[in-house]
Amino acid sequence: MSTSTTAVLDTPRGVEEHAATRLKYRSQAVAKPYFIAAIGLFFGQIVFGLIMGLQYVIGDFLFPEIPFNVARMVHTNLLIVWLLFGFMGAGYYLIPEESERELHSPKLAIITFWVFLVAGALTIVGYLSVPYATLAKLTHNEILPTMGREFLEQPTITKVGIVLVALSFLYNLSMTVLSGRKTSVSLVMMLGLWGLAIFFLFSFYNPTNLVLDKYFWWYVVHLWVEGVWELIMGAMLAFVLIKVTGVDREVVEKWLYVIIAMTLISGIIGTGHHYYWIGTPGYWQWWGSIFSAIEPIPFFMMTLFSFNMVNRRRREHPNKAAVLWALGTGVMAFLGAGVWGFLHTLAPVNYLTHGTQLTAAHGHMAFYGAYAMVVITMISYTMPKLRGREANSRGAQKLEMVSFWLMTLAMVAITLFLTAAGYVQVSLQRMGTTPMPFMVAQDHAATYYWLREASGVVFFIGLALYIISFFVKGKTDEAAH
Amino acid sequence: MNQSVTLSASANPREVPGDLAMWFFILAELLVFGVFFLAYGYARAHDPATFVAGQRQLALGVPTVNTLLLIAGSASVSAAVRAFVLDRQRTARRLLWLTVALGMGFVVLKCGEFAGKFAAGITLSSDTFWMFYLSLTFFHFLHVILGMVIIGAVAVYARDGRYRPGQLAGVETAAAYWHMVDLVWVVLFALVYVAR
Amino acid sequence: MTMNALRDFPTVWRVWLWLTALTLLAAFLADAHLTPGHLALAALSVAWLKGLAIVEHYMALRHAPAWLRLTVHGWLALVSAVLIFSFL
Repeated sequence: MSTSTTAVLDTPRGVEEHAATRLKYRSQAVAKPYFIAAIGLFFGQIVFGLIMGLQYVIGDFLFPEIPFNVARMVHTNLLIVWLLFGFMGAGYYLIPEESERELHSPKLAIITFWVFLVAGALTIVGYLSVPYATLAKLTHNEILPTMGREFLEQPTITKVGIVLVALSFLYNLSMTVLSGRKTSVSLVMMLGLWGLAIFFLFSFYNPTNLVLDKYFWWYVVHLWVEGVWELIMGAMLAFVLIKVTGVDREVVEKWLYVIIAMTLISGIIGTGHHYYWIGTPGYWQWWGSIFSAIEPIPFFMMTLFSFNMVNRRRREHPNKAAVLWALGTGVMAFLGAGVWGFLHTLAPVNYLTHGTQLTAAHGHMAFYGAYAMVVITMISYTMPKLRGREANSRGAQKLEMVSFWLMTLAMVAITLFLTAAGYVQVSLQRMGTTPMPFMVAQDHAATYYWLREASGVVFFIGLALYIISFFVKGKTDEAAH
Repeated sequence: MNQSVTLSASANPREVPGDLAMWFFILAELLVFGVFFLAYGYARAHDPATFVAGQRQLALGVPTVNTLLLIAGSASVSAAVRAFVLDRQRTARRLLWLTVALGMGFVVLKCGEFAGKFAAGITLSSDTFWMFYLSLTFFHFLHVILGMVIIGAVAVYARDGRYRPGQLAGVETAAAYWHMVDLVWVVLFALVYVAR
Repeated sequence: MTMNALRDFPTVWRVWLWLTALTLLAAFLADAHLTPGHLALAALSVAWLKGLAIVEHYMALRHAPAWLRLTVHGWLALVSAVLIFSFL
């Protein structure tokens, strides 16, 4: 029973009246708009992914209206922003439940949502409507130059906006945790989220020296996706598994601690696997190889963890789809981040494969498997509850599970085709006695790019079905547990 | 809670000494050091001359004393655990602090060793041998310090008498971590200093 | 651990003497003008012996579940063996 009452809950439109009967805490409802935005932006991300996939083989498709580099910015920025919306929604949902009290300020959460959404939308509009240099001028990048780097293309004012949104989010959740119950799940989640915010600050540090520039860029990117984001992912996965399996919290917590310990042990100095060729001292080739070789282990443990928890479950939760997503997350994260990552992490291999389609193969499966899927797992579990039921109808779940397989198998296909393209690229352009020039080698990989695009279309269909599954009606399974 | 501890002639059930989660952490540490050692072996196999030349500049006296200090530390922490089992709280705490002191001896000598190397202009970039030497020993050095902190923490917590016979998981866990640090050093000592 | 620790108490000091002796042996060998291959073999073998004692007695894995005991012993054996091999 929640004991604290904060300001009158400003429930966003669309939250059904009886949602309160399913949610342990009414303020968890603020997660809903975040999740809706996340899925919407995910959809946009894939549209631009399809555009680029086509541009790989039809070079001037949509040129000059949407040049490749602009499509790429939109694709990657949308990815990061929808995942952030997902993490925020996850935080707003699980922190009150773990802390056993209402969110500190639901109103602030809603205001923050709109600020983030509008700022993000304006930024994307900026990318698409004006040349990048013009955007830089319009946003007065010269005052504090932070534009021009991969994934961090946002104008400085957008970055400032992100920091303010993050601070508001962290403040809200921290106040909730501080005055409530502290659990491993909530503490690991908060550690991860605070880490995410702190490392983002490095995006403001833009050294003139190119080596330092790249060195610190990875403080944001690597220490995010191979560091604090893994903590967030672990906490989210643990939360969902506790809910759907009913396994003893203590068991789950022990696993979580070991997983994040392995993450930090391997990932912090493992940053060195990005420092092989950028002009840093040679010892990074050893440190990076040794420590990053161990990075697959936390992902392997997350797979073991999820299967083990489901195997020893104490209840048959009606939300089968969520269980499927949870299990799938472990497997795909391990394959994409762990295995494909390991394939090119050792310095002697990376020397040949650095910045090739092999990298892209790894990047796609890793991001999908680890982060997209864990956010979808969370949405899959929470969205029914946010809409007033324990789980969706059989029909809706079936469609959702079909979408799981379509997206997941399509992603495996994308990864395999890009791996093949990468192999072609490395063997023709990087090896042998008469290496080919870049574009000549690319022509040889064209078939794989077509196949990749076809797989991308299947992925898109899967995503469309996933969105449709939210609107499938039918008898909900109200079996009491 | 046991009032007395009886020795049993029959076999006792197998139990993990200390906290299982901590053992996973210990295994993870062993894994990282293991990979580091294997990388050293790989590098040495490909360039023995550089390694031999570097090792020739390593004196054996200090590391030998360091080995003896860590071994003595393992003995004293094991004796501390035994003292806790016998509910000899003061003796146990003293043995814990002895372990920390022995560790401090290691730390001081190690710092002297590092200082000497840096004074001679040796850095991580000097050559592959020196890179390994500095990385491995410094990485281990950090673990000695962590081990001292863990054991010191246990010694402080012990003051409120929480470690009674049958409730020694915390102490056993700390001891296990220290033994891991010692075990790693034993291999490191042989590998880097002796096998020249 | 409690019962086992008690039974093994005298072992603590015996093991300490054994480890100390092995350490001094290793230090002596280092200056004994062996060929590099032989020295490596000797040094890592001594390390392996010391490791055995630490694992079995100090870490008390002698009384631990088989999986844990095998894992740590496996680590020790693998590392020692591969390193000896790398000197050959």
